[in-house]
Amino acid sequence: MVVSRDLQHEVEQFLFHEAELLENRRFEEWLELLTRDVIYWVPNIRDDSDISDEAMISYEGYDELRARTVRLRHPLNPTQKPPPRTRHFITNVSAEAGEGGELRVRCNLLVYVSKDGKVVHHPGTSEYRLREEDGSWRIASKKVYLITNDLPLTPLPIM
Amino acid sequence: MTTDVQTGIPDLIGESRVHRSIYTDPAIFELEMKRIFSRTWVFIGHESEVPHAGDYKTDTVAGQPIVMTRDEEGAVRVLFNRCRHRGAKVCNLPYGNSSTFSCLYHGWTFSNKGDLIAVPSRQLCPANFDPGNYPLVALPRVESYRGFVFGSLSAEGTPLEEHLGRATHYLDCLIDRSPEGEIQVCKPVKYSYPANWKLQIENYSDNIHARFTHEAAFAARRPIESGAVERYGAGSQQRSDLRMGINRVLSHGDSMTDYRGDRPQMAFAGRDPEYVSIMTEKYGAEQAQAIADMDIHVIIYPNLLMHSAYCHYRVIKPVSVDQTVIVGYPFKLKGAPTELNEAFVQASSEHISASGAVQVDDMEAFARVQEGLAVEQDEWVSYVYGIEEPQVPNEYGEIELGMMTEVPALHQHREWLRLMSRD
Repeated sequence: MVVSRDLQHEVEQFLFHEAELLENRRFEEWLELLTRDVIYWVPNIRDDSDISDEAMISYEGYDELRARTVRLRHPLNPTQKPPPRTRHFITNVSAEAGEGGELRVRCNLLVYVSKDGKVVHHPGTSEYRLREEDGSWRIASKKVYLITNDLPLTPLPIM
Repeated sequence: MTTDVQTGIPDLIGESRVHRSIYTDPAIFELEMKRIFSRTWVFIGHESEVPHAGDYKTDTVAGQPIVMTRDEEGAVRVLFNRCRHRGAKVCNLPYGNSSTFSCLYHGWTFSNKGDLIAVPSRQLCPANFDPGNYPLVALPRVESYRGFVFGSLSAEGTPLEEHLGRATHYLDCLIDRSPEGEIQVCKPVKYSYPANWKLQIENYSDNIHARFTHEAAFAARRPIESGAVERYGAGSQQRSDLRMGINRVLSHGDSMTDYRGDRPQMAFAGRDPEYVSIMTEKYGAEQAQAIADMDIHVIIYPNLLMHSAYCHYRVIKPVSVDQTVIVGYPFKLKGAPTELNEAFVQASSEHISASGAVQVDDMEAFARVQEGLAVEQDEWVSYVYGIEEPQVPNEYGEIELGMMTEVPALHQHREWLRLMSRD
């Protein structure tokens, strides 16, 4: 079921806000957008790959993501000197009611990463489950289907 | 230095230094493809990637397309993926199952043994046209050791087991962590870095860099691969000095590192009581615990890196002098508890993924080395750590060394020189 125009607008603003936090390295604020049971998942090779049986590009819960932000901030992290610069482009947003009051959101995603004098791009689709907690939308799961997930990848930022 | 590549090779490898051009000169890279990757045994894949008749995977060896198939009789074959007619690749999916390969261009169809079994418009071919003369070309030599398939593009050479020598013992150690003595290889992750392939194989025996390159990964709370930590606990506090372990130099550039309890966080299998109990039935308590705790790296030159604690191996694929692809395959231990195998898959994929915590640091180091080696005024790369340690072979012919040593890398360069010096 398609959501109302207001809700569609609210979802789009939420996604733009998330992108802005990631682009501006406001990682701690980004963590606040996540539920404690969040799963951040970047499947490998094919979109419906099986976590129990196939290597994953990413399959992280809240604690792993928090550790990741600690690493990103660490003064001796060699991958962040200088930090890559990113831009997240989000289009084709659709939202529908999911289970238990959650929203199921899909959008196309194109992340540009500038590093070492080169720009690489990571095109794909994101699929979210958004849950309302304390009056705000939170990310309960985020799956990123890269159309390049069968290719050798260069280091990926948080998508 | 102007490289007269053919004659200048011996001058590039010193006792404790190597010339920068082995990482930067495209002509040397081309020669490596001919004299190393087209000559010695290179790792192709594991038989469990093609478990059933008709299963195949496509890949490359020395930059050339191949297909590894299991034929209807159950034999694993490695064929060049190239139509005998006009040259198109006949198999164009990464994995699949098919008893035949039909060329998309003119329809020549080959069995998965490589026989040409159908030629459309045959009446237009010469009267003496014989399909028997056009099978897919097989790799000149293919042999396997306990499921690990190696190939050589050279018809001549030492048989695989003789070439591997003592490395077979460490392959046994890794495989025999499976209660059934067999592994099941999973679909891999792939990443690429903008630097020479040898930087990765040298790095895998280098235990000196970790405290510098990976400091941030170790410093973060629950730093790496924490799904396994959640399930099995972190073990005792991770040591940062890595001084209990040892290195052993084997033959032909191969080596191994035994971390011997230096990395309890990573060696989580020993904290799975069900797994330890299964292994105890087979080996007795003491040996079972040692097998379960095993934390070794094994390097089989030039392209296979193995990791016992996370149960994965990585295959090095040189693309050009300054571009390399690494394909990382988690593997499961047949007969081990399902949960443990799932933890291996998850931990290894986090460890070796382009989105993970550890390998990305190394990729950064490789890129910076490649950039630095552009300096022509400073021609030599130096190795200093551990080089005065006595190198006395033990009863197995292994040279046992301390943890902090650059000697295994020097042995890789000696094998490089041996292979590169022959026409």
